[in-house]
Amino acid sequence: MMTTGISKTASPHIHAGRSTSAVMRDVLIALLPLAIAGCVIYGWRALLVLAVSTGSAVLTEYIYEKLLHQPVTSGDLSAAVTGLLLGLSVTPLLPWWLAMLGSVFAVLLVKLLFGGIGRDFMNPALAARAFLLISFPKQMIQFMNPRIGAEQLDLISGATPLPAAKWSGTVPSLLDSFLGNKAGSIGEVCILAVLLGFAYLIVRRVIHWEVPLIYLAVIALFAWLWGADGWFTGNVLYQLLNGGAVFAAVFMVTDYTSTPMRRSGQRIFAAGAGFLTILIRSFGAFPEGVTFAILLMNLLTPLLDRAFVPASFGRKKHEV
Amino acid sequence: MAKNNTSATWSKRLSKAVRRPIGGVHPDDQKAAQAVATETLPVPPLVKLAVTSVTPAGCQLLVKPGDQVAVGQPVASPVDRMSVPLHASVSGQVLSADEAVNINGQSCPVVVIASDGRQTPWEQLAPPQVTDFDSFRQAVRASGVLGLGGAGFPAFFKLGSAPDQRIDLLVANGSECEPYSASDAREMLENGAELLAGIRAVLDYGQIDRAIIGIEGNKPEAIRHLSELIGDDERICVRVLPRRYPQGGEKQLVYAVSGRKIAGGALPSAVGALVMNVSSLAAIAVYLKTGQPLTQRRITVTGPAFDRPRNLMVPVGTPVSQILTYAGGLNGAGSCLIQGGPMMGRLIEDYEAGIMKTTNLLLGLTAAQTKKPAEQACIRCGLCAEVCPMRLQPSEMNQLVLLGRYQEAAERYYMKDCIECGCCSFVCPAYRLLTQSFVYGKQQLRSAQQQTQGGQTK
Ligand code: SF4
Ligand code: SF4
Repeated sequence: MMTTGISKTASPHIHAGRSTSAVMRDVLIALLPLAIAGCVIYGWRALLVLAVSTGSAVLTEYIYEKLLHQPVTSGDLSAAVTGLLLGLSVTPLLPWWLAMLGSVFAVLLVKLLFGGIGRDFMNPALAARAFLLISFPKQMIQFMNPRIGAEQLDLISGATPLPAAKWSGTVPSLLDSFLGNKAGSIGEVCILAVLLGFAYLIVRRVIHWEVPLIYLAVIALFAWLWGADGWFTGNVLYQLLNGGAVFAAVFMVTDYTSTPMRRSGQRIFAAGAGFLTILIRSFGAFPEGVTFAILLMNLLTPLLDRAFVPASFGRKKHEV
Repeated sequence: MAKNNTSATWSKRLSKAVRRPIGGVHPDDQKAAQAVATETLPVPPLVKLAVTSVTPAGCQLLVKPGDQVAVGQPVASPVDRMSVPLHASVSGQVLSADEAVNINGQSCPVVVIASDGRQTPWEQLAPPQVTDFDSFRQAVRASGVLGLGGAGFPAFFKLGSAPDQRIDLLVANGSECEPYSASDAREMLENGAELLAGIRAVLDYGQIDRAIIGIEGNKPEAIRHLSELIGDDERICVRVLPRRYPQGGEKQLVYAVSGRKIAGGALPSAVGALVMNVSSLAAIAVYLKTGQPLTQRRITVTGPAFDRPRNLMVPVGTPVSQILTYAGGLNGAGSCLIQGGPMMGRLIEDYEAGIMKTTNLLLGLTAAQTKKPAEQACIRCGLCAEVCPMRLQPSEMNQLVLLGRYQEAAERYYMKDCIECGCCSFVCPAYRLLTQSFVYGKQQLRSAQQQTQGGQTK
């Protein structure tokens, strides 16, 4: 590479002081309420899944880089974030070896083989979730009722967090949906915890509030539009509070690497993902549309990045 | 008549509030030196005057070793259209006038004068005869004044070649947005009357309608002092600018006070504005009144590696080592000395080099402050683009520069418009050398251009 002429001692001489690992640490902190909520709601099974997914993500990166004699980058905490995100987005009943497989898939196939941090062409955690959904549908859509108030393990086999839109099933109350007192994925189920994480990320300026809101607003719009009983009859709150929409809005649609870099592209990304989410939820083969909607938009990211290059200050576009 | 119309509309627009800055960052201010009165450095035993010029070989030497010179006597005079003369800053004997490396690390003729300690003024010094725009412009050139904020663009050249270029706004740059820097703030406090005299002279001879002094809000004393001095002169006003780096950049400043946008590569005159640093304006006024050219300047000497902040009046050409000794030296192992601010300044490698007219700050930073972790992979966070005051795309430009695709970086991403402010590198969580790579990329573009031009003439 032709880097020899770039001076390392040239200005600027100071730095704002926030590193990649500091950013990732903030994401981990924001995920903490979700992890705690999941463990409180579902007990040790949730803890096991989270521990295995996070641990194997970090280990995969470490072993890969050791074997290839590359500098070990586990310190940047991004593998930990990927593993934890994957764990939070699956059912607490997921067998531990599937959690491990998912993490290895995410870190090795989606991230490391494409060049490591910053190079993944799609969100590794989501890609792994999609991989598990397709390859192990039985294990992935087996959920459990909350531990609270239940003596025994209460399986709702074959049910999904978004059953009522298509199939029959008892619909949890709005309050239960908000607090997470229902069956669902470990980290997606407690909206309150997700909102806590959201607030923290905003305060720490890791993400911008606009992008998640656009995503959710578009979901709300089309949910209302394509209601089960015809046009304009949709249950907006139900669509928002159940399934992984809010979780994905805060932690997936805002992912740095797999979404556009500029706000203009991010807005389109968020709107497109919102639209696709409801499209898949309403008409697709899978009950949950979040994963595939965002993955599809991930593939458009390079295009969105190239399409919206603003002209520099004081210039009209492309007069150099 | 047409001109009056334009200025009426401009003026209406000017009455609006200060524009919100585009991009920018908030480094720690560190303006302790603003409260410290200026001391005069004892006359150094020798000075090293670097003869720099805007164009290559734009100045010719007027002295040779052995010559006796007095303070204010020209030692080099311009032969091109843009450069300005350089004057002896001490009285004494010329020791040498050879090619040497200056404080910027560039090679140029350096006139070394051994001081006799008497600071005898040159007997030919006299206030210039100024009657119209042309004689004013000549006088500003003869004063040797360059952009004293650090940019070093000759003041006379900014005035334009004629007063009819429809310049209707003079912006006096007192924003001093670089952390630690304080010499302009002291200038406004200690030489406010000269500053206003300089502004009025430029307004009068340049037939400019009005002047705005832009000052960042972290200099309340300067703001109050100048507002009082201005009194009811309706042509001049002070605008308080938000504290944001790089508010003092020419384009950013003009946009803030007038809303006019100067595109990359364009000069302020393109939007009818003239930007001059406050210290430069005061220096012009001194020359008009006394005929005393620019031979000394105020330097702020501050930073964690010094025991306390100082403002020093020093002869141009004073070796850095003299100032260091006076200030008690740099503390701490691995500390380094920067010329200019931490965002855009240069590391000084040779402490025996003489300070130049543009040296406004000697900043002692500790090893901990300047330690840069190794570059990591870009995580595409977009922060660099968010803080870029020129609305550029540092992450993408950086990738192209590393691939050697400079032309593409310029055409697709406007790399040539980068003002090298350092904001992108300052915030990049992956510690990428963004600004540094654009400096390099632009150099490569320039030399490629020179080569093709050279090829064409052959
Ligand atoms: S150094 Fe250049 S690219 Fe970076 S923020 Fe400043 S103007 Fe933008
Ligand atoms: S700030 Fe650094 S890490 Fe973030 S997008 Fe820019 S170059 Fe990449």
